[in-house]
Amino acid sequence: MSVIITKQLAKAYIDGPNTIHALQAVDLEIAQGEFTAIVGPSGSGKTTLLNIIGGLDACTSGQVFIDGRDITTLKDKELTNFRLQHIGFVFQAYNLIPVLSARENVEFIMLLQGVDKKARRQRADELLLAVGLEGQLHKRPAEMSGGQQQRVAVARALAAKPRFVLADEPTANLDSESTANLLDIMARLNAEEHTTFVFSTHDQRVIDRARRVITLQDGRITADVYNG
Amino acid sequence: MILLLAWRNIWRNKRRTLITVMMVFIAVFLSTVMRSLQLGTYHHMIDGLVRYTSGYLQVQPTGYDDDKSLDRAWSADTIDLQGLKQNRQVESVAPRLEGFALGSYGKKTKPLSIIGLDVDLERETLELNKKIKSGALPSNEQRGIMVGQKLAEKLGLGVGDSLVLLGQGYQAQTAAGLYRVEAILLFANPLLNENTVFMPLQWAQELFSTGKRITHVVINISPNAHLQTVQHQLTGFLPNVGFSLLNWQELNPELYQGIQGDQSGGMLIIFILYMVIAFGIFGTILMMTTERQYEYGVLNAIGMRRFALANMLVIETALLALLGAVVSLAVAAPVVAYFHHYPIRFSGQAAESMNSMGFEAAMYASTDFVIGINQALVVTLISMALCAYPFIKLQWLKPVAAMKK
Repeated sequence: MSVIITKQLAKAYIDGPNTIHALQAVDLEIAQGEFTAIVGPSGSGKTTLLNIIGGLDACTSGQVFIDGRDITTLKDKELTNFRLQHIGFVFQAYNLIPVLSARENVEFIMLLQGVDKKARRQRADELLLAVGLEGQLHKRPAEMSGGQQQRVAVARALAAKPRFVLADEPTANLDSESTANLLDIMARLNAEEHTTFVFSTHDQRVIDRARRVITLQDGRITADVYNG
Repeated sequence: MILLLAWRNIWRNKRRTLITVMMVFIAVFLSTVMRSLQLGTYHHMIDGLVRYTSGYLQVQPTGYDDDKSLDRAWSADTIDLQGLKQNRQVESVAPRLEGFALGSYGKKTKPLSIIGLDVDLERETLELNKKIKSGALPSNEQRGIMVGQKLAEKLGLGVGDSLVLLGQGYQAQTAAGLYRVEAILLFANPLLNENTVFMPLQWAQELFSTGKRITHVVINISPNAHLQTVQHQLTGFLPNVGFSLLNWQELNPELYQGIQGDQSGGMLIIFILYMVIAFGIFGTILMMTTERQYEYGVLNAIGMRRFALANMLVIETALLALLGAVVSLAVAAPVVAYFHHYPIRFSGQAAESMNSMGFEAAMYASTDFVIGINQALVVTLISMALCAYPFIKLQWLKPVAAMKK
């Protein structure tokens, strides 16, 4: 079953007298449990595609269906709630809340969802254990390495039990060891919990681990390859 | 957790938080102390004068206030004094006789206001025992007088000396008598201290030949009671025609208007202070909003609604305002208490000027905690109102655009 479907998705920006076509007629289907990398050179439209799939940005034309629901028709408030309930985000710059500890950062999403304190605490601890940070619960982002912060970000993204996780260049700021750790964790969560992951990346290490690689060039899909 | 997040957020930039808290502190502290001094001084001024002269409320024949003639004296039996006393806010209901006479001792003579009062009845309410500088209060049966210290100094009177009073009594009869000074009292108010003679009611009635008549009934109420409400409640106890129940504001319009005018000036200063502080707080709020656009974009992206984001900003601002307010109230409390017990006393020309207007040359602070609470609330509400701009602006937040900044 497809979790994500895009139909004739297009995004154009007006830049003075020029129109820049960031995405053009993108048709895409991503099924439950996929571990997909979207690759392409800078400016190819990877981040724009992720932003539109994630309901963060509006498309110029086309449709985005998440679990059969066209999110391009949702209003701002509905979209925010949709993101909260259905989509997990991992950003290149981690983007954790600096004044909250690792555990509190993970709990925060569940707080927004209205989960009670006991259940929040329990799930946060489980997720931080799953990403290998059981000893770092009370540390704030500034007290952790980049790799550790990104693992907290993954735990945060999974805290809301989303239908899929969108990760925009998640390894761009990490060293090799941290990248390998992070990919191991995400691959395990993908295999064990059947969580769908969609990455945008330049990183060959991520591309090598992805089971599906979609290549974008000038806003169009130029290749869609399943590995192994 | 939102409260915790807001609390931690305000300490992300400690210096800015401390500066903002300091601004709120200065605003609330200054406005609390200024307002306490202003209201405390008014209260002292009003209570110190009104209680002894007109009373907070006064029953009098209609028109007496415009023509204070002894010929308008009337019998106290005409009205229900007991009924007036039943109101819980009423401290005392006391018949008085007021007239005017020349007072002479040795070669010095001075025009004086003569107030005849029931010494036994009003001893407590007027705290006469605390006013005694020398001598002792006369009983109602004693043919003696009480004079202010300044009057005694001007005429050269001491306890045991006799003062000649000469004036016009009821229906043009001659009012003349020799009265022994039983007590010299110290009043804060210069008018009472210098121009007034108190004597037992029956001897004032004898001096002015009014028989058992009085000129008015003074009703003193709790200073904290609502004047107009009590006035309205007591009006029902008066005969339908011929008598009026006036409050001190009507009886002393100059004093009331002077206070109102002075109060407006004080409020204007506090308003200007608030405005200056408001700009400072607004600057902080703007900085808090602008520099965290990226963060707001991230929070919105992961599912925090714009309204919740704006609420968090409001909570942060409220915390800053409340922190400043609490600290300032804690610091202002002992300062106000000090000036309550040790008033600021003026000297030189300032004192002379105030005395000439009939006011004591001193500023007392009121310890009414509501004054400080009000100032804290005003500053907090101003801060909340200032959040309107970023609150509205956050409703237009676009996460992708915010994260690009």
